[in-house]
Amino acid sequence: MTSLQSYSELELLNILISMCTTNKFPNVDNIFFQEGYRIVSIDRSVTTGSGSVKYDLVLSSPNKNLTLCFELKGLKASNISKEQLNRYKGLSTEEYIRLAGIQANNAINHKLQTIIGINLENLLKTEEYQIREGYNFPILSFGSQTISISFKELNDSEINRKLTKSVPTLGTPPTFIHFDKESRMSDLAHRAIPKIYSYAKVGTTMFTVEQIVNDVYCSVKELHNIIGPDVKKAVVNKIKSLLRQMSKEEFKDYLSWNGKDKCWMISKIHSESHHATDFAFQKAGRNFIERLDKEIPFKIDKDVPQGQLSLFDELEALDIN
Amino acid sequence: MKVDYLSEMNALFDEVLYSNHRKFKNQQIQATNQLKSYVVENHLDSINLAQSYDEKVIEFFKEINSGLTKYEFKINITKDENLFINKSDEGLMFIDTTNKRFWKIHSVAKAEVSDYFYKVLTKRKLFDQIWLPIPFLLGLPKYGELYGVGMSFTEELKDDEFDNLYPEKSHNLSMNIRRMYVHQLLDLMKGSAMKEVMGVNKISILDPSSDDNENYIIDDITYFGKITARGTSYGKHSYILDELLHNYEKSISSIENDYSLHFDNVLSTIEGQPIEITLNRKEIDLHKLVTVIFSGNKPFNLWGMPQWRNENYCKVNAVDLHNGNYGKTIDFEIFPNLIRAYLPQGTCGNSISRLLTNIHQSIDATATMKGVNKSDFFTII
Repeated sequence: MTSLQSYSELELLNILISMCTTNKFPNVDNIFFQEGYRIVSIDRSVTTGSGSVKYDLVLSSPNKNLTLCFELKGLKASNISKEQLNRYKGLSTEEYIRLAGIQANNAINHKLQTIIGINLENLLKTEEYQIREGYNFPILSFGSQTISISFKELNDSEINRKLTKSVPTLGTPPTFIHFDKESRMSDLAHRAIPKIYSYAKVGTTMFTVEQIVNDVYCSVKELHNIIGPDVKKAVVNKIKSLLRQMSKEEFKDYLSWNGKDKCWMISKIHSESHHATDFAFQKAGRNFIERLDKEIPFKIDKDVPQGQLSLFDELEALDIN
Repeated sequence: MKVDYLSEMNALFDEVLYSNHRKFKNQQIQATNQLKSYVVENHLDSINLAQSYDEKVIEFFKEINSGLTKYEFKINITKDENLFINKSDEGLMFIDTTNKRFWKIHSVAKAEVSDYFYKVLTKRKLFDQIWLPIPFLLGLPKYGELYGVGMSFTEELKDDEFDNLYPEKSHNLSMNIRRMYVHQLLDLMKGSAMKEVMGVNKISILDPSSDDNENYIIDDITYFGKITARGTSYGKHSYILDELLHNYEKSISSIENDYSLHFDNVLSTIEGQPIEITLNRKEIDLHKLVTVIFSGNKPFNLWGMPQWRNENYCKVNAVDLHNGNYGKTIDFEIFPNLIRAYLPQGTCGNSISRLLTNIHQSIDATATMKGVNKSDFFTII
């Protein structure tokens, strides 16, 4: 982010994750880890009596018997909804921690707090909105140099003390999770193309959609296990669409769908492929990404006569933007 | 002299060193059979668990030897389980596998023979040379006296108008200083406007004799792990080599254990942290830098599709094409004066020392990598 830009929701999430790591990262202090918090879930829906509740990030400390639930609003923060905040307001802690599988030795006394995370420039508007609508959620605001809590205190006095003073941030935050529902096709292509090349170089000639999604989603591979299925499904659908598009033109010599085994096959590039072949694959990648960025249309699948099934029809129906 | 044990190999090298020393002292002739040691990283131990280590090594060298075109070699076991000898009419290669990951290979054959074998070996998958960044090289005089320094730089960020007219395969800068003036040169370098291109590529160390004997060694240690010895004491050479390897292995293990990133399912948190390399060279063209590092070409061997988020921030998910870490991906973020690498668990730490060393040799000789405690990584304390 530059001084003129705001953080996206995904960037806010990545900053918070870097505050939960065992080591202090260069950009921000790992205060949540230091205070005993662990990541419970990311973007995961929990169905409760008052409806479906989906926080962007849930952290919990068994020792402190506290759970912190973050609702993040990136960029303009104009999409705060009353319905969503009402659901958080009326949430039963005991019911939520039971259904979300949060470890609590003393569920009756466990405290859960909802926190709204926004860009600093939206702080005033968000405070006014809460006053107007009668909400009391602490606001965690992310500036280009500091992160601080305001409006209401946190139940965790130590975290509250640190965030009231404000926690300094330095430079661009690290990226652990690369995609969310807002990710563009070219964001996915920048990671999927090298992964396919990597498969070829280690001698893997076929891969499934699930495999490549698991491999490209996060810089820390296992992290995708705690991400909720909704956002993952959106990414899976985009990857499916991306692979189809790739195999139609720029990558038609390198990538094909195997309907029998329901996997994608890699051709031409392999562990011993010639430097010129590898270079051509890289060039195809650049052309493909340029096509995505410039929104140049892809060819319609002309090879399938009318009334017959395309080999891609075995893939699930796509749900993409 | 037949060699069946490492101790016998030591005795042989003592003999060769002393004989070369006498030859030079009496006739002023520099011998061609100087002792050369190479440190090679390998992951042979991690493959085909059904085979014994001996079998793996023998099978590996049989396969290598069958493909050699320049010289004929034959691999031999010895009575020492850690010592293998690859023999040819032009000389012997003594392969000390005591450290399963980092082998020490010694030879008194002509340099063209031993260098050829070393190059063939380090081109194999699962094999790599070691990569010694400048702070590491400059720390080595701890094990002796600074006797000489070599510098070179292959400019990757700027083009010379004559490069296209008169293509030359040579460094833009190359110099060797020995004995007198070494310290003065290093001092000059530190204060020089050209320090960013003063890529130290070799350090010579003298471990002198004490008063009552003439045991001494002069080791020329290159950034790629070749150590040439002159003197009279293999023991001193062996000690320096051991300390070099010990320090290097410590740095590599730290990268792999403390910095590589993974999600701990029990603690439900991320362990490790990104590695940051700070570039101190002024006015770096960021686009040129990204193109040079991630084109898939030598020396960086990283293949990626750069994603520019803005003019000052680029993300690259790069495939490592170097043998030791072949085909694995590493996430990078590139900013003006900063390269951040996210090393996934299971990635070879040598990838990072290779990146930093190649940056020193062709991008910025003053680039630094800070450890958790803010001290320079790869320094020898």
